[in-house]
Amino acid sequence: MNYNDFIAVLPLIILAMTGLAVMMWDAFEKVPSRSPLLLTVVGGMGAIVAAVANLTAAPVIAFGGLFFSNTYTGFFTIIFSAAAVLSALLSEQFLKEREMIIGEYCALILFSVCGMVMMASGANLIVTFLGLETMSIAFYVLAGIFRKEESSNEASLKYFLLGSFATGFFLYGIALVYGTTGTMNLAEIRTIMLGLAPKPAATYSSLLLTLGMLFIIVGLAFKVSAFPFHQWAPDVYEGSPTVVAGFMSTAGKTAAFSSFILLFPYALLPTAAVHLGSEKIQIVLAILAACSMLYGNIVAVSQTRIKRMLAYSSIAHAGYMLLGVSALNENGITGVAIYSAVYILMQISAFGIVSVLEKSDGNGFELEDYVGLSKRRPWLAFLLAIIMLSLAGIPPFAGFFGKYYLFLAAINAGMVWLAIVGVVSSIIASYFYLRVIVLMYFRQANDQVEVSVPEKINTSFVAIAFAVAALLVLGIYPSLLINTIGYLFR
Amino acid sequence: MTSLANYLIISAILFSIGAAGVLFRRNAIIIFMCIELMLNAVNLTLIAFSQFLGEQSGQVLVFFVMTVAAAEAAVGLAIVIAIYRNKETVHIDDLNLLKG
Amino acid sequence: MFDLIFYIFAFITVVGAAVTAIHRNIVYAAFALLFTFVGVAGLYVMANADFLAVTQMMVYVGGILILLIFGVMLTNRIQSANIVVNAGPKPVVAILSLGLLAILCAAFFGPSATHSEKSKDGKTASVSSWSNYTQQPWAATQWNKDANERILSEKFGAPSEVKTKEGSSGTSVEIGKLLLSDYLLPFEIVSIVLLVALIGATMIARKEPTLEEEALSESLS
Repeated sequence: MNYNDFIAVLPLIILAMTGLAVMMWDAFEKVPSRSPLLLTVVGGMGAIVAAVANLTAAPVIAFGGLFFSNTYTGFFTIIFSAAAVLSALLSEQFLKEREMIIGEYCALILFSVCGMVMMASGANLIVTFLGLETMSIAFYVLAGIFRKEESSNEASLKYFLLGSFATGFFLYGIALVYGTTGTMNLAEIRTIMLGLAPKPAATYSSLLLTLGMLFIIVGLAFKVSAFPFHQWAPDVYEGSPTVVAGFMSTAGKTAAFSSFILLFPYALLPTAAVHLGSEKIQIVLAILAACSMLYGNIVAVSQTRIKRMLAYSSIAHAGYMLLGVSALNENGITGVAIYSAVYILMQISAFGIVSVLEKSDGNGFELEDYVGLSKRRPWLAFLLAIIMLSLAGIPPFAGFFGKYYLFLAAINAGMVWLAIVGVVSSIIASYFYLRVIVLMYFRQANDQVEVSVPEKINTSFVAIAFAVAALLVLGIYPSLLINTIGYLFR
Repeated sequence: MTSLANYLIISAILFSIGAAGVLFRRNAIIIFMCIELMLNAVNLTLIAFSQFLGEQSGQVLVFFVMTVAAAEAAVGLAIVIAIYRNKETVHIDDLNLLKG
Repeated sequence: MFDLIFYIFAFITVVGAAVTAIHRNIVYAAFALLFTFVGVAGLYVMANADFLAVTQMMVYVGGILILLIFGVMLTNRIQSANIVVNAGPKPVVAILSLGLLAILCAAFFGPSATHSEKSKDGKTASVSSWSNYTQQPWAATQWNKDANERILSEKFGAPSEVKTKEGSSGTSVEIGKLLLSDYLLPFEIVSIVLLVALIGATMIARKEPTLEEEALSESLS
């Protein structure tokens, strides 16, 4: 290992060091202040700068085949760090109102981003596993950060038990893949799967390898809350603090997708793989995607609480991205990357608005509370309307292009039925997204006096406005993101 | 005859018992014990394969799995204690505030 | 003799696991878990993984199990009947887990069923992988250095330095070298995992300072 190896992991080092700095700062600070959040924002920005600087460097596998550093990992590092910055900005007001200690909160956010970066860049199953666990353990704690509230405790316990259960499956999958291929290095697995390197004939069994892949899929499907493994998601997102739920459901999910891409289209199921069960596993992924899209959207229709509605719709969004993974082609990977960026912007700001509107006593989550919002908080209502349109995938907004690319990938892969399921479920989804807009703009609140509250320009508002502006720009000039990604993933 | 298959079968049994326990039981701590059984099964599989392949990276992963299991145990216990302070129960059936 | 010891450890492991999963008394379940951990450590020794066997005893038996028992003691007052939990039969769970076991065992040695393996040049060679699998040399291979090396040198060429050193000489040296050379990055990453667990556990489980304590700390500072 040499100088270049450390340059490759520089974003990771910056994030971890900032996390440590936050803890030290917090320990020596007499009066609690907001400086940890400031440090988090600075650290996230620093990681983004380092990742951007790395984009121009030649792709390497650092530390002797452990850590990818290329444009793909750079892109995901940038969006995970951006998600951390956004959620640090969003949580400033939220945590202050609830008198939370923010030092540990910020440190855990930063360490969880470290885990995500490892997941997106792990060139060895050991690194992928450790990244997944760093992220998950930080999330178990973050979900329970309101430790005096029962709902937060329960969300944390539920997430912890089901998450560890999923980790067991993921690890068993790793063990079987290791046993049958004889290596944990993704690049070596890829050459074996392509038939370019000899299999360890003594332990190779296509059945065991297929089982290993299925177990890995089960483990990751838990983390992205895809259909049969989604039970934890609505409860955990509803019970955990809103800003944390926003961060978990965006950055956490896209991190799992980034390692889905590395594990499946790259290593285990490359195109023209000689492995026997490839088609079957592709079908399994496609069925998971279809079920998640339909189930998430159909159940979201009947929800009356906005956090649960967003949670179920996040199951559907996981389905869309899983559709891109199951296509196992270039378009699919590009589609997942575009959708990850757009989804982080949409969902984090949607949860951000919910966190601004929720009351400190834990009320304000019912959809009824949003009736007549356009009169009370015209600016927030306007921003939320744009986010809802984008989540629904209405054309001029960024969400549309993300979906378009994913469905295109499915058609290219010869799975037209999957694209049709995707379109149908998007149509179902537009019902409940548009219903929020109808409630805000076209329904009169009965009992409330409609006083327009002037919008305070605080960090939350700035972060939400920034995210929505980005959504608009990307929606109007989609070529911006698509060309960038096309350039990065060429 | 002790062979790789013996190890794999034992770890499969251990894993299935663990998985069944997680789904059967209603006490958070016992569920966590069953998760530990699953992790032990994985470790056994890894060591068997590693020994048979004559390659040590499987054993390195086992080392990391143990570390992570210890970290998880600490966090899990903390969560259980926090929940017990608030509700005085660790049965997940009693935790019905959020419908499951 | 070797086989006998193997089966004794295997028996201890499986029985301990079963008792953990079904016993109604949580303290007995924890005690049974102890046997499983020890049995697994024994199996590690049988597979020449001496370093990990010791680690298993120290981390699982000495650490995790003690932590779990602390958890049991802290969350169950002795006088409450809370300590016994109901394990009602659930057919679905039973079917699911038995199915899992059946699939896994079938994969390890199943009846012969013909699988066709695509070969590299596109031809489809018919290989009976199920029966082939059970007939693999390893299915009846003793854990010994010679057999391993024979197979390995057939498949991978001459054994490398690492491979010749393993065996009865122990694995600690090799694992130590790997951890600080090839796997240095994960070794460092694990420190982040442990730090997260440390911060998280203290943050969630610590006691809320009472008003008096707060006043005291304010007067001190």
